[in-house]
Amino acid sequence: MFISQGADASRVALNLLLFDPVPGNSLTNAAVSGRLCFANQCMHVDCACLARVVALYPHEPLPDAAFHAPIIPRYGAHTQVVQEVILGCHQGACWSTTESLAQRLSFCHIHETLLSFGTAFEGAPPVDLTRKRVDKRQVIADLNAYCSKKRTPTSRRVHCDRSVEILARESGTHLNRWHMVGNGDSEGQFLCEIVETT
Amino acid sequence: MSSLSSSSSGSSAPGDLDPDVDLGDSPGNSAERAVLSVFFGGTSSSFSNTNTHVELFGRWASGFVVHVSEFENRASRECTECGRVAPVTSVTLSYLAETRPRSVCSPCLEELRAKKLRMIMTQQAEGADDDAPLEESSGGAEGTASFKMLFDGCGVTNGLMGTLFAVGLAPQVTRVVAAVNALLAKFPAVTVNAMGLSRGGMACLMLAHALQVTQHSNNHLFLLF
Repeated sequence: MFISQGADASRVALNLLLFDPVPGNSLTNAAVSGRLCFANQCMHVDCACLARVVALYPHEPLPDAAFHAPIIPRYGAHTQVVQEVILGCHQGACWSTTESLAQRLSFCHIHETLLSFGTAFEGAPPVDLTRKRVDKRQVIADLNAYCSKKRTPTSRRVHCDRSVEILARESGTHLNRWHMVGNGDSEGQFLCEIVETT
Repeated sequence: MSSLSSSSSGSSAPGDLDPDVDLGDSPGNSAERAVLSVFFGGTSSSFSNTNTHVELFGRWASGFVVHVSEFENRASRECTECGRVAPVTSVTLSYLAETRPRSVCSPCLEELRAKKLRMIMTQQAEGADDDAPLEESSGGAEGTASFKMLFDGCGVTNGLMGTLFAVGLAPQVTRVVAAVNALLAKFPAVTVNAMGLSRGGMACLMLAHALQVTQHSNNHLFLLF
């Protein structure tokens, strides 16, 4: 895999939208198998052409036996990275066939991100049902209602070279940064975020 | 007139296709930048349906389709095109607005690809305005030409080995790199926007690794335990 030698690599800009990237390794095995492990091979992503990364991580954990711990890689200093914790669990947050808040939220996240990357779309969303999901204001209003109640805290372990986890608190003013910005606020306590552990 | 072909050696096995992409005499030269949107499905995602947002956005995204979803089926079955019993490849021909895959043998797959190329060239010839870049699509930023590639999940393309060991991601990434090389030969700059769900997200990270390598090198060895 290579870019043509005659081509100037600086002519390429790469933007990534990662939706719960899961290598499929067990956390224990990743800790002991070094570079033989898929998760560890992708742990450091320092690509000169990597301009932006938006990574979305659903907060609900799956059983350890499912090997669905996501990866939080280390990126180069020049890469603009946004990591958001969202509602739902893994692929369940990405279904396009139902209309839960988690799925509408991920729809808005993905839509906004791809548009900001420069990906163009043709006409209306291909599924009639999804037209409702594009209403960001409704999603923000639903998130406000969601954050107004106490929730069951969760934590999700991850593949990472630092000691971090995906945390959902009992309460918070906003779900995540996207929600805060959508509300026009500049500060608050996030209900879900990636935190360092001791 | 624009053209795009995906060449493959006649002896290659289904699923082991030559990733070279030749954009031919594509005009699009007036565009200053090519935007290649790549959608990697999750392990069990298939573009033959629209179960997740990856397929939904992949279909919705505008752009000239460089790669349509296709996946390997190792079992010998009757080819839906010629009727011969042979190892078949399941192909979803999105350019024909098909939503269900056909099972085709290797020669018929090549024929379908040639048909696709002829169809694309015909459509472009009928596009009338020779100066307008074919790939430029509605909704795209001015001065950009849009392309897209859609990949089924590795569990769909490579069965159990893909599901358990992520086999199949590397060939997908190789195809994208080949497309980037082809676009670099035609456009001053290329922006690659890759979206991936689950293992597809891992393919995105592999793509970042692949694009930083600027000289011939051994492919990375990706093992999974």
